[in-house]
Amino acid sequence: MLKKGGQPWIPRGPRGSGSDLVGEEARAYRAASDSVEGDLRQLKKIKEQLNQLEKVRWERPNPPVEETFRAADGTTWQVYAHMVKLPKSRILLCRPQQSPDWSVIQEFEEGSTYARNHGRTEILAQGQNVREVVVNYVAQAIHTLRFAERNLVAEAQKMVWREFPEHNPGKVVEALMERCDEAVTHKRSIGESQSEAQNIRHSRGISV
Amino acid sequence: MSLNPQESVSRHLSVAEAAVRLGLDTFTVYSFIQRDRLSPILDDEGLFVVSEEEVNHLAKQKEE
Repeated sequence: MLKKGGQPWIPRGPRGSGSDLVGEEARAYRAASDSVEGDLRQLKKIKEQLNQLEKVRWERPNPPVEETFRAADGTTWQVYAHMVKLPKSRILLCRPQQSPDWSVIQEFEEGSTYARNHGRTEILAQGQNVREVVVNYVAQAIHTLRFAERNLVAEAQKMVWREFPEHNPGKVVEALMERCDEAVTHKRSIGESQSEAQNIRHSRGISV
Repeated sequence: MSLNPQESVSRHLSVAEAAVRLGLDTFTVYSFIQRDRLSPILDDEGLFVVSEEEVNHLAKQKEE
């Protein structure tokens, strides 16, 4: 950790703005930051994968099939893209054999408690326009990222107020919020809008 | 010390605890909350948690 005048020091904002964290403030920030680091790193990885999805040109005439799988209901799905890799599941862009409908499917880890009882796959978004289906899924995932980030900040805030109540907890929490926000802020690039997603059927997670 | 049955029914789990119990990742549990598969409960310190009862139900429930 940086030091200033022998005290731990975390520079923030414009010079002389008084927003730097010094001494116990810096220690509180570091402790809270470390406590949510693993989760924040995970959210950042997801955000990066979502950013990549927006650079893909989805409307290709004959997209190659990367793999196929058979769902519990007997449907054979063709996988066209591995969209997001999560720690215990993956998000796939699929189409059933001989169907024009595109689906974003979540495939859970084999043998997990949830998968054993609900099946390994669930549809997250569906429709005939591949780009709109992807945009719809990305919008859902961004919403989830924001929710997860908000809860991480609350967790860090809880720790700061409990363990460092005497050292400007409000200022420390503000710095933590900035850090978390920066980690998950998603920059949209393909002009998605509410209206684009309006006509897309999207499920609440239907097992397939 | 014996557990009060009422207390055990209303116990809350953090999102991370729910994820472990279901064998999922936390991001998926957050998405379940957003898709109304689990109800969000705001605890006294502003943190969203979930009901243990609902998580157990989701862990056991078999869909037709």
